[in-house]
Amino acid sequence: MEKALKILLFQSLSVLLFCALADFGAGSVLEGMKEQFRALPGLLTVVPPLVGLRGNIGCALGSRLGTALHLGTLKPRLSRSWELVGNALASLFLSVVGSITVVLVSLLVRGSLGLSFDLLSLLWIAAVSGMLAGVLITFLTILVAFQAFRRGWDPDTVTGPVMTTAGDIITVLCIYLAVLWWG
Amino acid sequence: MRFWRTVAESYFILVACALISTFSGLLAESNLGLLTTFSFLLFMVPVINDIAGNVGSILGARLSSALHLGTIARGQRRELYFNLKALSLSSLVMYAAASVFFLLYLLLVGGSARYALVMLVSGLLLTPAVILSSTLLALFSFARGLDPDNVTGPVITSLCDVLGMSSLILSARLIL
Repeated sequence: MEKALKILLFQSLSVLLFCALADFGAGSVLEGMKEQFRALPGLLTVVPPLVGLRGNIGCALGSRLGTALHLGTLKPRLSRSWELVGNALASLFLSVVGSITVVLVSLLVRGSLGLSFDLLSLLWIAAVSGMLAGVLITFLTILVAFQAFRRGWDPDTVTGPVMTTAGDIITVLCIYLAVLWWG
Repeated sequence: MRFWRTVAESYFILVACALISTFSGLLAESNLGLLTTFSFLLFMVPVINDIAGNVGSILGARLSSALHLGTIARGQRRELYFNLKALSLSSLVMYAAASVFFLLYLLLVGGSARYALVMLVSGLLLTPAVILSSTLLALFSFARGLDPDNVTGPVITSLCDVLGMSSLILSARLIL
């Protein structure tokens, strides 16, 4: 096998393996939610878009922080600088408003196909899980980006896959919590 | 204000991607009976979707860099084929490894070994679909002057949700 192929395979497989193992955690939560999926029409429809949304928000925040760290406009410590606070607030805002939009859009698609859904409980689940998961993922992204940078790893390479996978587990758990809370 | 610029730039691509993923959810919910009766299928959903999503994103990002650098161009296909080969191989190895891992878990909790076969078959169905769609997406967005770095990642991940769910349901229907 060529050397370049070996290196590429080694790097991609180690990231993929780490993520796949963590995904089994998200899977076990989903499996535990099967009663809720039966009881609440529309819930399973909104799970993939909500999970994807959070992963994308985490990735984008990680990549903005990575750029700011590389440019030197952000130092890897907690501060009241705009680069940090503004970016964190933007991702939190996107998490809540995005979740609510996503639920409305998916229910619009569902409704146009003539399928039933429970609007109030799904909006509640979107808002609560969006808030909870948004806070957790924003903090985790900052932590991962700072730690990676301090240790001399490229935050751009590390935060993307880590945040997509962490986003899966955190979002699924937060949706579960919101469902339980709604009752 | 930069807060609103960040929000506005991200908002539409996020919602557009979420709209794609909605079809994965709709597909899942129209097969709710299958997924909740054989609930190990729900367990597999994030694993199957994410391996494909990650392989697609890595391929998209690599092709995008190569396109920007000019190492992939008309008449220069070696770099393209090298990446296609490497990522197809990664994908197949990962689905095989995940299936073996899942098989061990099934043996431990007393589930049917057929579920591991479902995962392997969905991986086999999914790999060519992911490789093809992320290659086309990277080439297309580069040709249209969009930065593939910003476009391919989120779109491929969402697309893989739909492709992953389709191949999981298809192989579950074939095997279970």
